[in-house]
Amino acid sequence: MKTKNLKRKLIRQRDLFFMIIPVMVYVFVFSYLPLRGWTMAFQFYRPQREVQEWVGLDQFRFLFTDAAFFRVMQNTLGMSFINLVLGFTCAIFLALMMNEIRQMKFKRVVQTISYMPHFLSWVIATALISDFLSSTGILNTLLINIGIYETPNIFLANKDYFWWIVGWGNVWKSVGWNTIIYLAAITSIDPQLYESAALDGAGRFRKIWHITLPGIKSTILVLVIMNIGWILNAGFEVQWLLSNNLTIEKAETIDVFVIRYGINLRNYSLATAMGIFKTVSSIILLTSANWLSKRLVKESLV
Amino acid sequence: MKFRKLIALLLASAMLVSLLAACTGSGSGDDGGGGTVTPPIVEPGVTPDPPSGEPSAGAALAASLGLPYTPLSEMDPITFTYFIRDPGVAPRSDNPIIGIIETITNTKIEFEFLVGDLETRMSVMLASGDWPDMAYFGGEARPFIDSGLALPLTSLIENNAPNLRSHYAPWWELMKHSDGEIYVAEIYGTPVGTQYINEHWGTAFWLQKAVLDHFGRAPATLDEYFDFIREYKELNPEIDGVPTIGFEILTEGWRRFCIDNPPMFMAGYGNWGPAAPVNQRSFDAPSAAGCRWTNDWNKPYYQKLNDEFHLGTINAETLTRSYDDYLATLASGAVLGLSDQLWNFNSGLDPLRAEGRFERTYLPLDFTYDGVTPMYLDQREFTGNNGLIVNRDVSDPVRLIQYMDYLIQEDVQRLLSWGLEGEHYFYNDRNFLERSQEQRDLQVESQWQEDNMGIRLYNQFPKMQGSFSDGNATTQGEQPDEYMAGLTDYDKELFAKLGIFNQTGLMRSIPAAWPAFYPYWSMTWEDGSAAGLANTRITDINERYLSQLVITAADNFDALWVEYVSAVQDIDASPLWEVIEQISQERLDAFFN
Repeated sequence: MKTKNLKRKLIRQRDLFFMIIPVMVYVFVFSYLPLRGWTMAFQFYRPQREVQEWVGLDQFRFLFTDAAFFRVMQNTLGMSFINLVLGFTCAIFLALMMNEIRQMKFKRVVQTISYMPHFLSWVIATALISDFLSSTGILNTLLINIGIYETPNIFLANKDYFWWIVGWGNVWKSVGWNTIIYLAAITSIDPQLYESAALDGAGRFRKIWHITLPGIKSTILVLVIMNIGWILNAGFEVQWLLSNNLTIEKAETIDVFVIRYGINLRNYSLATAMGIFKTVSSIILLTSANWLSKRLVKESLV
Repeated sequence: MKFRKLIALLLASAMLVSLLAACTGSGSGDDGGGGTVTPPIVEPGVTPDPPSGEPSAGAALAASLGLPYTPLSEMDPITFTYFIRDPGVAPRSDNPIIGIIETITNTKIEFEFLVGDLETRMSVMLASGDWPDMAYFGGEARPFIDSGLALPLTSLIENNAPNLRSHYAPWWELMKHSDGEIYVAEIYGTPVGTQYINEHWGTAFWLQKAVLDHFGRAPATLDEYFDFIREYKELNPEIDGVPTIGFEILTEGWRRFCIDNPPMFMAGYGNWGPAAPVNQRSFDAPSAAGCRWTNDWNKPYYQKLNDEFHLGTINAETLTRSYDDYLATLASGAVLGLSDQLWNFNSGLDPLRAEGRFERTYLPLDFTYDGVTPMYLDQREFTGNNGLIVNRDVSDPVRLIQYMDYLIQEDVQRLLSWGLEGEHYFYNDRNFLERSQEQRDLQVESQWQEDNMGIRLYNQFPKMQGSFSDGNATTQGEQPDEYMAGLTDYDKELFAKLGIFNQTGLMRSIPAAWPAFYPYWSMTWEDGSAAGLANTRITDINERYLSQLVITAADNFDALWVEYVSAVQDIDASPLWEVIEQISQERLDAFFN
């Protein structure tokens, strides 16, 4: 009896299964197949050789004892934290604001414009950002004309600004895209809740605080948990393309380090060791964030 | 409820994935040249005569142009792919001179230029073993040799390429890798005949001609150079609407020699590379090559840059520029000075020449510290690795070598570099190659040359540099009379005013004879070796400190310098010095062999 039920359920949901097949193929090809290359991390791998030299944990030892590693970790975590906080607050804020717009045409225009930068590649996005911040760029022109600066401030020449430039660059590029999911969650809130709140005399801000935000709480938490797993991926293109000698000290993330000391020195083993380190850290972070959220707010991913 | 939200999430990510998939399509392609039919191989050591009977189209064309016959004319068409380590555009398919070569040899070269980062691109090629039939990596071919991806050329050249063999004769032993085989077909370090130097393409301090025109003489010292720039900048705060820039410094990627190298030249050294022997004129192998970064002679130069930064001659923005931005900045004509090698920034000056703004181009100067002899000019030096390597899986290695052997012949070299007699040049009554003014004007633009002349083939294959057997220079720029006649009116007037005859006139350096182990920038080491790691660490420190030294507060300079020096000294560079000593000895041994 039970198997028959399950079978019928499977058939009824076959559209969903078809939709998920491409994703599963993608994950298998790009995430599971490459795992066999992990053996490289324990070798001194040289391309085009039949037999490789095994070196045990030497690559990991090099990684964790290198002075550059700590600088790179600091940069990665710093930029990730800024991205996480800015990314979430801005996207949620924008989604709430957009939800309050009653004029549909205006809402659509705002939405389209704000998610457009998402489709730009980082090569173009960083070129726009550095134009924006250059001595003759719009920001400097504005600040000089309203009398805040006398001479242009070369923002990209100051390493202390770099994390924030990356953070706000990320916000600009992805805020519109990130709001889509919140807007979708907001539409699933029962309108009756708003009506009864209005009867009780709640204003706009009260309704946002007591109905909209709790309504999307679980969406927010799922996204936070997933993003915590990505915390060691502070980005690569943006730092690689936007940094220069003056900011490199604050700009080098784990991925940039892997390119320089792994790929470019053709020490593929070191790059693999770093990849393993990132994956293992991500799994630990993800499960502990999930566990914590289950304990604290009774919401979890799995 | 929760389930539905998860589905929404999954849908959103599925959309993302399909987007990604759309972006990464068209990944696979055919491996190039695999399907061509192998033509009959010519007996080694025998130079065949044209077959009797009706000559092939290629043979007929060669005969009509007075070019030597090649058996390639009788063979089936073949295509070879060729990777170049620089960004660029492939020659147009209707390029007449390349078309002539294709007809005669039945061989087509498909150029593939660099897009993105070279190191990363090379690493991917190495790891996958999938790369074009030939590649030019500058001096970086070593990993391809070590991993067995490159084809040994020694016996191929000896058996199939008599012209190439005799071209390489003076360097034959030096060309050999440690396993006794030749892998790299050197392009740039094999001079022939007289070397005419009319133009300096290497390192110098470059000063805009308008500044020299204004003062009527060249500055004598680096201090005076910056005084000139500052004074001119005050008089002309804008050049054609663009704010004047005093001095540009390029720091991007491997091109950072623009900030690294000037103090080495200031101290009277040649273009050695990451290290310089204490006594550079000694022809004995150095026992311990000195790290040049912590030397006392670096400090005054960066101190000077720091002073000029605070005087406003240098803008911090120059240190944030990428190579493309840098070229675009030079193309504005608003930059008064820079330290660079001409080949590195020449393309940035093309727009200025096209607009006829010749006063915004530059002349080279060779400053040194007090009492030091300048050593900026190099003769062409054999490097042993500045050439092309061939893929071990190339479909027909013999044909490729025969093709290169055909190109290196003097008549073909003249065709590639000078063009067609009558159309691009003529012989004057003293039997010198000459261009008419009309023919000369066409050559000014490098894009026109690329589209209509054979220079791409001349530049990317083993070539004759210097002069042909009849005494004519191998290129127009090196032919003394042609160089003089080709000067613009502006240059002629300016040169007369400054009392010089050619572009190098303001330089005091005399081309040096270097020991056999010069230069070190062309040395290579094994992948993943301690020497490579030490070198990367030194580069890292230089990246982090040298630019900061330029813009740091004046009273912080000394403290930052001390920090920099101790950071460099903390690196264990001994593996690098060991490799340098070893390479010096190897090069000396090969030289006296």
